[in-house]
Amino acid sequence: MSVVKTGGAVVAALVVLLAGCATAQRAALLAEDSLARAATAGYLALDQYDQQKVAAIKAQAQSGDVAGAMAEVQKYGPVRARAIAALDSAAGLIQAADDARQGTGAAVADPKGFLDYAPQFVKAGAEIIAALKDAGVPVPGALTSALSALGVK
Amino acid sequence: MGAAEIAALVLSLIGKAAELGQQVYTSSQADLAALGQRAKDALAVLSGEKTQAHADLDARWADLQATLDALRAKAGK
Repeated sequence: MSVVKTGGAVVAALVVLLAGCATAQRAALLAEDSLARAATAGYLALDQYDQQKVAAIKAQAQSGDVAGAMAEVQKYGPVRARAIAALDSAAGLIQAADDARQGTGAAVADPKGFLDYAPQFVKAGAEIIAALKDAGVPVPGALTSALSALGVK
Repeated sequence: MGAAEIAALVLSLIGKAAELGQQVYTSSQADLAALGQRAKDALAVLSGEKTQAHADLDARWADLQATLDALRAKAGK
């Protein structure tokens, strides 16, 4: 009966291995989806905030306080650029991950290469939050809920 | 239990396990395909939003810079 037990154990291990591989791919796909949604919400939030912020700076300048407006530009410009860069970086990362699994649908062409993106998704998500906060952009709920799926707080 | 019975049992067990494995594989592939499509759709939405946001942000910033330049030039006269 040991032959039966051994054979059964080997087959069971293969089934578990198969399921485990699919689970890892599933988690990576969910992470990609979450970061894409978070970045979309981030672009929207930044665009809306920027509209108000730039209008305020412009109004300040037009009211005669050009020096004050220039100071605002000096302060806001770099953090604005960082927020754009964080979002662009996340978008580029998602595109690269998507490219890594092209041609076979979700059956990943290069599973290891694709799975390597998961930790980078988390890092990119954290940078989006930090950069938006630094720029003064109110972080929307859609973004935080999407990123919480990645484990980003 | 004789050798023939053991062999039959092993074959039966392997057959059942293979069937189970096939079910797991098929189900997993369908699940992954759906998730992959969802991620792809989310990426398409993101790409559109990125393009729009960049157009807005760039135009707005250029307009602000032009306004400030004009006001500084006017003040410098």
